[in-house]
Amino acid sequence: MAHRWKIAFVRYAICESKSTFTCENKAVKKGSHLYYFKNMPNLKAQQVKELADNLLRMTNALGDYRYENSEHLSENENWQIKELHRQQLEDTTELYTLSAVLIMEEVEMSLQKIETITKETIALYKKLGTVQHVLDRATSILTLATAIIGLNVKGITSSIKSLLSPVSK
Amino acid sequence: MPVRMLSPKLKNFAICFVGVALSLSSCVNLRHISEFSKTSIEGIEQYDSLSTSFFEVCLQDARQESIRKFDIHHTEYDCEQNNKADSITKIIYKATQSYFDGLSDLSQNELTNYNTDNLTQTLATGDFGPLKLNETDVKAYSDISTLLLRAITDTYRRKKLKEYITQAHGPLLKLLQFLELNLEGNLTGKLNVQKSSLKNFYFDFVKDKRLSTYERTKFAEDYFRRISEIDAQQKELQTLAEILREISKGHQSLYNNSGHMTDKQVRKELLGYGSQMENSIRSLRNM
Repeated sequence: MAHRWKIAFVRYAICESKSTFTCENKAVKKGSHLYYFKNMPNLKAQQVKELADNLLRMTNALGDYRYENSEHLSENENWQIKELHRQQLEDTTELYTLSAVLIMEEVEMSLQKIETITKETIALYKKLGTVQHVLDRATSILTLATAIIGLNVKGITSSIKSLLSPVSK
Repeated sequence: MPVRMLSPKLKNFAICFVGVALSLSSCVNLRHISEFSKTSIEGIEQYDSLSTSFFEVCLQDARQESIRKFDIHHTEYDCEQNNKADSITKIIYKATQSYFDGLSDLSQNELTNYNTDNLTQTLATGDFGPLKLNETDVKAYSDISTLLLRAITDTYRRKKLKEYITQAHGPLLKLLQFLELNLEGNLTGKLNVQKSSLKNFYFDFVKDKRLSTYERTKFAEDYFRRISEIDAQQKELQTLAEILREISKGHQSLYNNSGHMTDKQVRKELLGYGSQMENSIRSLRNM
């Protein structure tokens, strides 16, 4: 009968991890401790991830107990632990998702800063690239002037075309 | 063009300008920053080729639940939060990628290699009426102005790059850490849960002596096949996280040496981080 004490102990450990909840003799209601975590003020993404890691370790201890003692457990006991294990796993995976979603609040400032800097780098890149355009444009104007001075109609036409091309704008 | 061929006045200008220009631009080779940024972009982009996501894990979990219940009719699932988790991860990934795009563009040497050949040609061969221009002088002035132009823009560019790297360092490291937390921490965690759920499900079938040996063997095979698939996905996430850590180290090196970004030591360090990343990218592609 020692294993019954062990089951009770594992259940107790899982219930204790939820601090404010009473588990008694039944499986913990799905989502209950998630509600608790979600409403806990100032809980950071990293902390929620660590809670999920710890919960997974404890939950897996329950699973391992079942795998190692399956031959000594009654069908009902086996089913009970299996269900409890499954429900705990469902909650644990939701905790990992919760941690990932919580990240948004923490990265908002960093995202804004990086976006501002990125915009500045793009603006500077364009500015430095424009120098070549200005050089080209000056050349085009000069070509036109030269063509006019030299009374070269063909040159005037090609210079105007060059001035109007999108690259030189 | 030989300097002795220039007029004395131009010769003085030339020596003065070239001296100033060379002193300003001789050390400005930012190719190593550009190369490191490009490799970083390539590394971050591996996110797009990951074979898993929060949504995918949620969908697989939901399908596994349908299998557990032997019900393929009622298959509604709610993966909204997981979709949100993917979107957040993607926003961080895109912001990081765009930053390195900007850094790569700004640090490429070709950016300030201005070309004044057209201008020189026009000036040298153009008909300006009574004004006659000496082709040799035009060429010399043009070369000097190009060199000076490059020196001024390069100095400005280096100063701005230093500013950007310094300002971006804190936020960038935070974004990379969170990207790592989401991929190697949370998504890997979800996959660990999935492994445990599969064992929870398959264990009883494999142990059930009422089933035939063939059926029990098939269940065990199915279980190990699924575990291998998840292991491969976790390996991908782990490799991507290694790439993110190399990017952080490289940027840290740039930040620490922002005053002398062109030093040999910085080049060497960036080259090392870059080659580590390339190895990881290669192994990710071969997975």
